Amino acid sequence: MDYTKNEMMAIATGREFSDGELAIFGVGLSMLAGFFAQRNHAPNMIAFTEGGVYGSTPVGGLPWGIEDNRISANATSFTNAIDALGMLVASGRVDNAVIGAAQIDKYGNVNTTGIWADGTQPWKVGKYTLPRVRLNGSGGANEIAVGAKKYIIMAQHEKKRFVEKVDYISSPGYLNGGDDRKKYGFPGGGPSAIITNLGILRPDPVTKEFYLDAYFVFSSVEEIIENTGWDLKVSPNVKMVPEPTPEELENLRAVDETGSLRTK
Amino acid sequence: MGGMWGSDLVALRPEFFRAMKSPFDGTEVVCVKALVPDYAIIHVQEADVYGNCRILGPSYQDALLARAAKKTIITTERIVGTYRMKEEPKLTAIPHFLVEAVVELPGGAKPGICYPEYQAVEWPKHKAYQKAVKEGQVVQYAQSMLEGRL
Amino acid sequence: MYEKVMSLNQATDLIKDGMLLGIGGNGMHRTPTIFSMALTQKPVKELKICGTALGLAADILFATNQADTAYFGFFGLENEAGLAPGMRKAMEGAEPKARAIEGS
Repeated sequence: MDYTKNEMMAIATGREFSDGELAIFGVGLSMLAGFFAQRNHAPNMIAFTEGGVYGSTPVGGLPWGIEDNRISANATSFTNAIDALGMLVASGRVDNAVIGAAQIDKYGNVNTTGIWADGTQPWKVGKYTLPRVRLNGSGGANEIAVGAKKYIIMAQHEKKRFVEKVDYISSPGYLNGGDDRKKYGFPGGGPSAIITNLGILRPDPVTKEFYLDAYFVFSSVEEIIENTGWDLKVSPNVKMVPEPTPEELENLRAVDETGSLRTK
Repeated sequence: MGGMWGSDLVALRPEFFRAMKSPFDGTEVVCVKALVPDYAIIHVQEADVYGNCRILGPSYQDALLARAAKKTIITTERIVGTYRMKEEPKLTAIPHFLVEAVVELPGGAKPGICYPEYQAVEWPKHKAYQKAVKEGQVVQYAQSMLEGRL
Repeated sequence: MYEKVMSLNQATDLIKDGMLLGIGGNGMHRTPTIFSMALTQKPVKELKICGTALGLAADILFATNQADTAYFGFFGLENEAGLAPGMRKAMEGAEPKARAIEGS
């Protein structure tokens, strides 16, 4: 196998994007997946960041942040966060997006706020309590979760991350499943996939519970179930994701100039 | 919105303005219903073929209008190369993906003003407009002003 | 990026009866007058117009009775150009053909 698990994850995510979509990516792995898609099969994708940088491709390597010089160097428009997050994302204009997750549950709710000691979570105690580990917060991910027509969640597939119920909902997926999300009238449709370094999960159309849809050539259904902290259901049509083609790998590595995806 | 108190608008226009209590401290606030235009129609000085637009001089609320509307139609004094936007992207007032159509239309704001191209109203033409309104001849006035560009 | 250049004729054909149009500019400044005048040559009607400070381009559509509603904070031409003649003709009198939903 001449590619890493993270490269497979980035390519699988990039394949979920179509040409012409208005798309927003977070910094890091999600940006690599998105710009790979633009280079590989979606040249008219309109990529922008939550800092207000529209219509650019990164130069010189992965940008540090949402308004880094590497991404604002050749932008056609550069506004501000109120314009990007308020007027474009939260209003429901965005077609597709990628966000990350420190913790994720079976309804696609994402936690990037903090990790609580078990039994002390706010939803268990009934009021706000302090987390054991303080994470960075949602950033623009909440707007994306609420406003994007659909979006993908990228995460490392580990039992401690894939939990029955997150400690704290930073970015809402399908909340308590079923029709729960619809009650709130969000402009966006919710997460369309969770893509990890082991496989792809998708939401059940009725219950909105994420089930295993596909695995990679180097993983297996058993391995994925073992690394998931809830009783993961498996699709009767569970399939293997096609390996990266030489063209896809070439395009991904051209975007990933500093080789950050090739470390594992 | 604080400035609405005292005007008759809140009482007389309930389809647009409503007073309600703020959930934070119970003070009365005025809420305004949002409008979503089907199209924004905006005349700019520079646009590229993709719809990225620069507005020279005062922009009024045109950048906001383009975000409020579903899509924007642009008429422009001139079409410029995209390099112009990339030189200083902060000056791009309207990003291309909000735009559905770009029409190259020099003089598109006449007989009015469009800084810096033409900075005074063409009074003879405007007086002809005022006369046309009085006499119900605006369609004919418009036809002569279009000079065959339609 | 997709190219979007089209003729005035094609662009005005996008406007259909009953649409809500947001018109840019302010008073006599940088309003899309020629686009408006092109619309007067088409059968489009029952338009609703909105804008922060509507001016000449919007006035033309009220003068031809192609617009029946205006949402605005200000609608006028200012200074020597005065008030908006088309809008006034449509909204004043015993049988107004248009109405205003003003924000001021």
